[in-house]
Amino acid sequence: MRVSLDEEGVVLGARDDEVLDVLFDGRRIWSFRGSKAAERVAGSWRVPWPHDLRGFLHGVALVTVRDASGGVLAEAELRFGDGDGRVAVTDPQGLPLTIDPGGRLVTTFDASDAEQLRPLVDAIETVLAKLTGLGLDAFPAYGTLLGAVRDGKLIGHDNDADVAYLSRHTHPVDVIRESFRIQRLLHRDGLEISRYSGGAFKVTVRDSEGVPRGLDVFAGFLYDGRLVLLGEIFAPFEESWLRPLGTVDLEGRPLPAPAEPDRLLAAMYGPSWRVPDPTFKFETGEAIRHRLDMWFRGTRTYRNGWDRRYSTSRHRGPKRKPHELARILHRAEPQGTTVVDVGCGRGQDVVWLALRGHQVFGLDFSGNGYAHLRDRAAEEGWSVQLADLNLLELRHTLAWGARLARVDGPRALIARQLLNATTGRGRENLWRLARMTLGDGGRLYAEFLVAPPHGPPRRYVDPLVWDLDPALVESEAVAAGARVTRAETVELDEHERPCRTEDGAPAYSCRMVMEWARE
Amino acid sequence: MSDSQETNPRPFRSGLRRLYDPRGLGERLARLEAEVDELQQLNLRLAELTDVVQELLLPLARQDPDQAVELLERYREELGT
Repeated sequence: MRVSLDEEGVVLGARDDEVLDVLFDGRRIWSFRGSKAAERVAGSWRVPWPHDLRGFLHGVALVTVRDASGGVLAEAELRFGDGDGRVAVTDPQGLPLTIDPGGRLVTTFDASDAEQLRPLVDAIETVLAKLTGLGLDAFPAYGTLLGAVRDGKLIGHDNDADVAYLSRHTHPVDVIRESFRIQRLLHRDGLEISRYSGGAFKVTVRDSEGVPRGLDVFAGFLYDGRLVLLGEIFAPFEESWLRPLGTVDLEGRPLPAPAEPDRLLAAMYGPSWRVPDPTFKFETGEAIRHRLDMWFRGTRTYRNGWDRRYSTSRHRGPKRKPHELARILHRAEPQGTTVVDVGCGRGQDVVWLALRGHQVFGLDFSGNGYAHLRDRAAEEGWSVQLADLNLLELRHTLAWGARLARVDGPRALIARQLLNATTGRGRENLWRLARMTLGDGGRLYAEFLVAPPHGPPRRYVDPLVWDLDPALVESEAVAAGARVTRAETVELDEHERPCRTEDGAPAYSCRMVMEWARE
Repeated sequence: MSDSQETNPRPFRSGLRRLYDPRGLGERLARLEAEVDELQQLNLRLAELTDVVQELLLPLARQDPDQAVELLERYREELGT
């Protein structure tokens, strides 16, 4: 096939289905299929550089396009922008990055040697042993099973590991409860865990270079003659294809495996699973995705977006200036009131309120936002407790509500730009938390984006926030037992707004104070 | 008396719909789908509730408030992120 290169991307003579690798200075950076990635531009088929790669394209690189057999189809020394150095697609620690099939930059396994990956393989073994010890049939799954069966190794273009277990339960409620219990037991072994859904969670393992690697743990169960396996499978399946378990080698270690791994791999990757495909992306059928969404998911909505938004500033503090809503709370509440900042984001208000004599809880579901404050708060002796609260999980809400209800003395909640950045489930749980925390009297200070007076709703540059109708908020608050004591709409300046509007017009917020009387 | 507050602002469209779908199957299907979604979403909520209750019922049954508080703290710490 005729292929050429320029500063804008790859140009193909035809739009066929072959997988092509793109290398910068001899290292694979990205793979694509022309049939999916190419666009018709001025009479040719163009594959533009992926969005996330473009930020790295400054300087010179020898760019190569290779086919699956390693044959070079095009090669050129390209100069991007006006830099003279070599293009470096690396993270801040200098670790090589690759574009994954979803278009995101990741550190793939082929950038690491076996010694670097040893902690991850250790963790796979540990987690499988733990699950087996609980009487579950556990085995490597998805890419990890595929690599083990195909080559006995982790797949070079993969970037995380997967294990699964087959539950003895057959009802989603029991499967979810079992997953909660497993999470607790692994936590007690000192593992760092983040939950994806009712049936899956991630264990974070650091490799020997300190690169965080995800080890995903998926629940599976048999349901009406089908195998349900988070997060993608809902397929007719025989129990005997899974158990009794056999074995498979991974990086020189024998691990438990499904009785007939071929069957599971075909359900996961289709009949051509034996052919390596670095562009493979799961495309779960709509009906299956919907069923799994309804049964298990909805506890992580918008989370990845917020994690990404804060990821580049994890260790850099924001301006110390508080938001107006924190000032309003401080002026109105008695000295020494315990303040709970729900959705505290980067934590400016947490610190400002603590410095004014309040005991403050800063809670958010994205720990990246307040990561910069964790050590600082302890060093400075601020009366601040920072923690994860996921309002999309009822368990989080109930456990935190019970904790906050035990705080002595007056309490107040502050929720700035939170109601307009979460789902109906998130709002429902905020009201639940408020009622538990303030049930014996107290106020919630909320602020949320609204359409301008007499104007249509705005669109924001960052889709993580949107306008909310104050009448909806008030009706929900009243239903949760509150009384609105103050509501005003204000135009926001640059410091107060969470992001710009798409058309550059001013953004507006409603500031609403709600009061719970002693029940 | 009924608490139904259905209104019919578009009689022409509604008339057409009745012509093509005299038994209202489209609407009934949409309503059924919404109801199934609602029921399926109860799985997670029920599992969460059962988990909290089961973990905390034991100290309550033993009438040991200190252990209840301790368990509650541990439960919260083990929720992960």
